[in-house]
Amino acid sequence: MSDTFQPPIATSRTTAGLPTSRLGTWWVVASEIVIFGGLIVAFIMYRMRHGEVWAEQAEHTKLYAGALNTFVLLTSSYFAVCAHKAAEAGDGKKAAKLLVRTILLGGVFLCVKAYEYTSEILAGYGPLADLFWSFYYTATGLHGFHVLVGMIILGFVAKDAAKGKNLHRVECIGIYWHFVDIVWIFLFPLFYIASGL
Amino acid sequence: MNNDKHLSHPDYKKIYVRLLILLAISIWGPIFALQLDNRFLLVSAVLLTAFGIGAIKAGMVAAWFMHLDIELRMIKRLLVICIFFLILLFAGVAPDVLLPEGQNREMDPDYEYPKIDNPSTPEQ
Amino acid sequence: MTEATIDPTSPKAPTIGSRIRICLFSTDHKVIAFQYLITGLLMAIIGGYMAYVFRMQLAFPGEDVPGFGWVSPGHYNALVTNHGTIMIFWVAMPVLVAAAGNFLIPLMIGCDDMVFPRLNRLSFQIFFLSALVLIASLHVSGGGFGGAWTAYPPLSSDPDFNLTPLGASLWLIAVALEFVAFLIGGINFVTTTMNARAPGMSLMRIPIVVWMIVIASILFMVSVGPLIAGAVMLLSDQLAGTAFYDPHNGGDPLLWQHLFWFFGHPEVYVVLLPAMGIVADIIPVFARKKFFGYKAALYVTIATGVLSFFVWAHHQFVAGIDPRMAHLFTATTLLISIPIAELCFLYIATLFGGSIEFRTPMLWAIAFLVEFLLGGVTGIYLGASATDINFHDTYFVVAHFHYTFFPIAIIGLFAGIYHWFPKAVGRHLNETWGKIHFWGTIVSFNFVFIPMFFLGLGGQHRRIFDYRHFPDLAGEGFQDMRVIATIATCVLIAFQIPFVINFFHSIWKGKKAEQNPWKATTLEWSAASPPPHGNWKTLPTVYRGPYEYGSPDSEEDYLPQHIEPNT
Repeated sequence: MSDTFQPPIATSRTTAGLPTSRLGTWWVVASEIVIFGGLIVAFIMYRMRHGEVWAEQAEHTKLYAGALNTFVLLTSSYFAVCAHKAAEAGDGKKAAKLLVRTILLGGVFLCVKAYEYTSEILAGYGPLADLFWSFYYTATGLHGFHVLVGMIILGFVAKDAAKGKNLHRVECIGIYWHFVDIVWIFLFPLFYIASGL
Repeated sequence: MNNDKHLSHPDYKKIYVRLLILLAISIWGPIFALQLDNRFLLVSAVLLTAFGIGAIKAGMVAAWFMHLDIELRMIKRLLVICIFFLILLFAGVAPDVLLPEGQNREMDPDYEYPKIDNPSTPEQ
Repeated sequence: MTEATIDPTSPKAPTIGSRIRICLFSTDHKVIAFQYLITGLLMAIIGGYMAYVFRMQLAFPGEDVPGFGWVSPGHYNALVTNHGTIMIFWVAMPVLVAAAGNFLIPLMIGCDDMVFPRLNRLSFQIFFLSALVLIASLHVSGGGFGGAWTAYPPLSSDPDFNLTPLGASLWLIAVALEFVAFLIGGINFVTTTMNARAPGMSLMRIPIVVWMIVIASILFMVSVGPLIAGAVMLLSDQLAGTAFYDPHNGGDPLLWQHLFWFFGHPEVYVVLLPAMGIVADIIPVFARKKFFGYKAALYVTIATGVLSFFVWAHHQFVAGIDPRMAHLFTATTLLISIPIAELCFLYIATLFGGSIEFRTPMLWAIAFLVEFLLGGVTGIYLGASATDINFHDTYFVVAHFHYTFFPIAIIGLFAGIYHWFPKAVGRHLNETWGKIHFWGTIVSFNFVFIPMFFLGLGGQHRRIFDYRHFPDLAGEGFQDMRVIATIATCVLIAFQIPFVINFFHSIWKGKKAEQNPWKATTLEWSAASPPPHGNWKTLPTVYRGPYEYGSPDSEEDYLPQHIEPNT
């Protein structure tokens, strides 16, 4: 059905001065900012209120795993932006190859996350152990869900890009992926680094 | 469709390397800072290295990877507005969550509650 | 699906299969608008039925309600809760934001469809699913959720307190799904208006209703994020037993109230602005006069939108919030009445000196102004913390709230339906039946809610199932007013029957409508009635502002936006 779908003329108009797909992506990013922002604002308030108590809990998060994941996501973002550069040059094959690397790194991120969850739960820090851990699992779980969704969409975009179709989508999914990266850049200090306070 | 082709791409590899260096600083900074004796210095050092550098990293990704540096002014404003309203949310809620004194109400054992004479329960 | 199957002007006769495909999978913005409208109206019937049942219970406590049976306290709570939820999230939102936005935005800015038609369809499908989940939540074991539409914890978070473990979670899931649907829809509206305007449609030539729907979508998008995060936390409190809102284990129930009202107050303006916009577009047409102060209206709307984020805690004056913050929120709440009053003045200034035709859309539009004014004025008492402490949770609040929301969701909706029905269907609604419907609705509406002001002033608390337990509130005078309100509710519902008959009769048998029956200037009237798929054969170009009435340049008294100026 989607094969015969003809996009309306409206989609190709650019009154605001940028392509519709990218404009739509920015609005998605804006709405995601407030979703993650609401959670982070709530966490910061509780963290400040329960300073000493939660600092003890935060000692038990695995700094090395978080650092490794930050590295993985930054690298995947680097590949995503290189894919955008290749797509803009019209090289769909190369863009698809780079996007596949991004997807694989997203998979690595989720594997590290899975290892972390398992070892935390086995050590007795499950989602119900303390409110801190509830926040930890909610925030990283919501973020992990976004990584997963991003990987799936990246897969579709890469499939099209390999055939040289819909190359403008490479930039849009890139913007989304970088946003997911930025969210992790803020979750990392919140849950892992600033544990001694 | 892409009617505003970017004229030149910055050197992404250089930016990537810088990001990794900043990542290393933000991991090691707090570890060293925690050995400080002065509580004020410690807190500010941790906050600066963890969140300050985090913000710089986020800014770099947003500016060069998401191309916000050459994006329309309207888009930048939109994102700033979203963040502004989050700060507003924090400012409005923080007094209630962070300053809970005055909420520790206790029952006064000497207080006599007014007597309410219940009418007979209605037929059901 | 090919374009031909969804083109109503297609020479091919529609088969049953193609009709079903249109219903389920059409990406045409007008079809989706109709789907939103019909779903919203069906949900309004359910919500109205709930109002009937609990009004009957209040007027004749302990007796069987015809059509429902005996009302238990649990039933009563579930009915009141779901009446509120349905009327706001499943009636006001879909008909005012989604149906009006889907139908009007592409037609008024001169493009053939939304920019993301398939996302638009997805938005409706998620919305429809959410409606089904909500209805299902009423029928699970334990009954529907009964913790009020605001769902304050701990009542909402702990099954031991609300006694509806399944109903509460399903209710929350339905609301969250509905948010996602409107988030997608809202992004579509905003992107379409920003990027797909017809040549010549500059920002200052966009009709006010489109501006207002777009501003409402932005308000919704920015405010709903924290509540989605909050809903995830509440859901895990309900299902997994976490302690986000549990003060015994480090949580804070006030956080939910803040997250809810940080969304909830802008939400009032999310539904108010489209209704205001519909009225703003109807008044110049039937006053035959240029809209007074287009730019002022626009700036005032933006000011309302921004201010609406600064007022949320006036819902929580008695919840134990910081008293210093209460002062601030009192000041901002009183401030926000200024831009809204300014808007009403602009409408009245537009009416002043016009040659007013009292056709049905105009009657509804003027009724909106009058009734909403009453609602707004009574809001002043509730916005000031000193008086609100007395009025909080009394029927004064209920009456005030309905005096704002009834004009918004019902009067604004009917104004829109009567105005754009000829365009959407190609046939006129019957004027006489429209006027009967109008007067019956308006008069009985006032009889429902004016008694509630007095009940509230007398101290009647709102969440009570049977007032016979409260000797102070069970007196003759109180009970008489309750009976008046209940009878008026029944009359109000009965007067919707002429509308339903008129609506369906006119769809098939109404008087044929020409292309521009109201002699209006905005772009949608330059398309055929009903507009075909793609709206225009050649997309229009815009040469002037949206409200050029009484123009000396034309032989008639109006100059449509798309007519080329003869130089």
